[in-house]
Amino acid sequence: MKKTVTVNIGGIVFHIDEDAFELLHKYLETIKAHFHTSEGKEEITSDIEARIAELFSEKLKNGKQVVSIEDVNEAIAIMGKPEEFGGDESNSSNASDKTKGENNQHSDGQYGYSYGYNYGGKRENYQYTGTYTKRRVYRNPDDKVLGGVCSGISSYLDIDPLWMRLIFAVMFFGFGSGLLIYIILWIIIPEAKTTAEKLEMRGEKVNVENIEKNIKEEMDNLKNKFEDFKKEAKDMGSKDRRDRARGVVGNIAHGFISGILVLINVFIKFFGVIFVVIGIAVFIVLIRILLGGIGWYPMGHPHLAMLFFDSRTQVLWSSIGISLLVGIPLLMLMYKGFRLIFNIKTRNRPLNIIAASVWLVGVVICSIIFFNKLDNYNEKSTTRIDANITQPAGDILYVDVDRNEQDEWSDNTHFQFGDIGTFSDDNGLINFHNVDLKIQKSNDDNFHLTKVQSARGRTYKEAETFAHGINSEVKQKDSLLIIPNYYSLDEKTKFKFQHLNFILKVPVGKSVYLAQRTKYILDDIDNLNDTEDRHMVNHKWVMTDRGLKCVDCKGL
Amino acid sequence: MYCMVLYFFRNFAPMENYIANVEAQMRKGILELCILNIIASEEEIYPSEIIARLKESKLIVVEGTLYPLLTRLKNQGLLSYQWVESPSGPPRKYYALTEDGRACLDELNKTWNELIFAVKQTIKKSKRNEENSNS
Repeated sequence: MKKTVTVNIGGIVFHIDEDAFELLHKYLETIKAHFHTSEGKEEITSDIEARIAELFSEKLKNGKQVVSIEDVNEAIAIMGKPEEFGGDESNSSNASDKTKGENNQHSDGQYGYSYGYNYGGKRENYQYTGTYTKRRVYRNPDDKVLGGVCSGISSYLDIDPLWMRLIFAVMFFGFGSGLLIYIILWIIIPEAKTTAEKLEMRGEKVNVENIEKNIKEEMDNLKNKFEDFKKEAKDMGSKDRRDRARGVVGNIAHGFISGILVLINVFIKFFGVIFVVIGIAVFIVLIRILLGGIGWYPMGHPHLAMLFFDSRTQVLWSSIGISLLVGIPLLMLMYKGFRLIFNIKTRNRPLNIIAASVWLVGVVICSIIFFNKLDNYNEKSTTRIDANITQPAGDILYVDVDRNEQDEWSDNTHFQFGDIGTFSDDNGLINFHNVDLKIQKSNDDNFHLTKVQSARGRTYKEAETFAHGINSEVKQKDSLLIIPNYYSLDEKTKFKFQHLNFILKVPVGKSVYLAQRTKYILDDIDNLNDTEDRHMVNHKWVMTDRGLKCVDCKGL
Repeated sequence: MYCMVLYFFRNFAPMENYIANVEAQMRKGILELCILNIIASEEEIYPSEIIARLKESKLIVVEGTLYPLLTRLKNQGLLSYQWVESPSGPPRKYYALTEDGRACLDELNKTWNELIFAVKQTIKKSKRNEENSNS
């Protein structure tokens, strides 16, 4: 299916395919430009138009209704290209053609002629290189499912559009990243509207040989310039040595800069790829975090989100804020990457402005929530609670740790903050693992265990309430003391930097044995042997006047 | 000029270009003569017929060449045209020679015959000289 346009050529109405129309329009434009300064230019062009109309009429005689691109090509072949016209009109056409951005040139390209283009102000004219047209990426309006992005990229990479579509379809299931990338590309890649752009879309292949060729051409060009300068410098002779020196130096500098530019060009594409890859990777991670796929961010789980936030609304706003704050720069990174890869030069100011404003909105939302949250942790309260322990019969107290069963990922574990804590629906409790054990010298002859519970809050009173909300259970069997490596918080509680510190006071002359598992909670315990915490386990320690001393450590 | 530049860039053999260029100049000169003669041979003629005849004699390749020439000849007052409805497509311009055109054509034909004679004479002379020097 093709869209057709109705045109009036030489007073006759034709239905013409859109692509054919573009081609014809271009052709007539070049004719006009060619006869720009000729006497009776209107008459000449209208004569030619009339003849084209006649040719089309003949084509449409036997039941055909629409002028196709083949018909236009045929007509152009019969009428000839301006440079084939000959005659002295061409003198003037030279000048007039130069003033036009698009210059008709002879080539053996698909439609019989190709164009030179303005690349960001730098005019590149491939007058004598025939079909040489730099390939650029466009969305292909003639072969599209959605926006023609896939088929456009495919024709840029010279592969079957099916593969590109397949890749995007597969990526769509990768947390929707395919859709996102598609939309970005849809926005940034211009549609090939004119025939010239369609030609450019299919232009010379972008492959290693061509890149090599480009660089080689650039280098040759450079070399020629260098030789010219050398010659020039020689010709100048002793006329002005200072000028000559400047010429050579300038030339070397120029050559150097050009060489660097070539290298930069190669690297730019490389960076483009890197930008896009980073953008996509971070984006996937971001999506997973927000959806709770990775176990260290609270947004994903409703209960866990509620640990940090006061209300569902706040959770929602935080999610939006963070998404914008991180997402917008990511999208822009990908955008820049694609622009670099596909050599897209068109500016998109509105997009930049929109992105910047949306990002600022994200910043504002995040700051409001951040300062609001910061206010929630103004005051700190510390409570000391003595845990009643029975004195062991002997002189030694064995200390072991009650490890939270949910340390290991189980069916009950809904969520895990790495080493910090686990969450389970089972008992409606949230277990945190930031528990420390310190061993100090007792002031009397008894063992003492103190729980130091601290928390933060908006007010001191609030902090105190939260500090008291820390639940932990110490178990004792004769001389075996079992300290938990976790504390539990009520499901409805908030995370307020609760912390639990056990202080075990050992009287002078009595000992403690630290079991293997105490390594999880030992916190920088002073000892006379200068042993690190992790080496203190599985040993018996006696409290002396000066501090703890190892009884059964070998070699110490 | 544009032609020369174009030809120069297209094929980098200067000698061939030179020949092509001189040939182009020659053709261009006689093209108008031929067109006038073709028009003179008919009472009325429209461009496509002129082109068909010119193509037979391989004087032009593309139709686009003709229209500027016709316009110029008409502006010189050598040609006149009238619109004739066409069975297919838009109305056609049928060209005919004016009185001035006919006079001009006679003059040009005379010059052309003189030229042919002169050229033949020159070639003959130089050939004879060659033969003389060889023997």
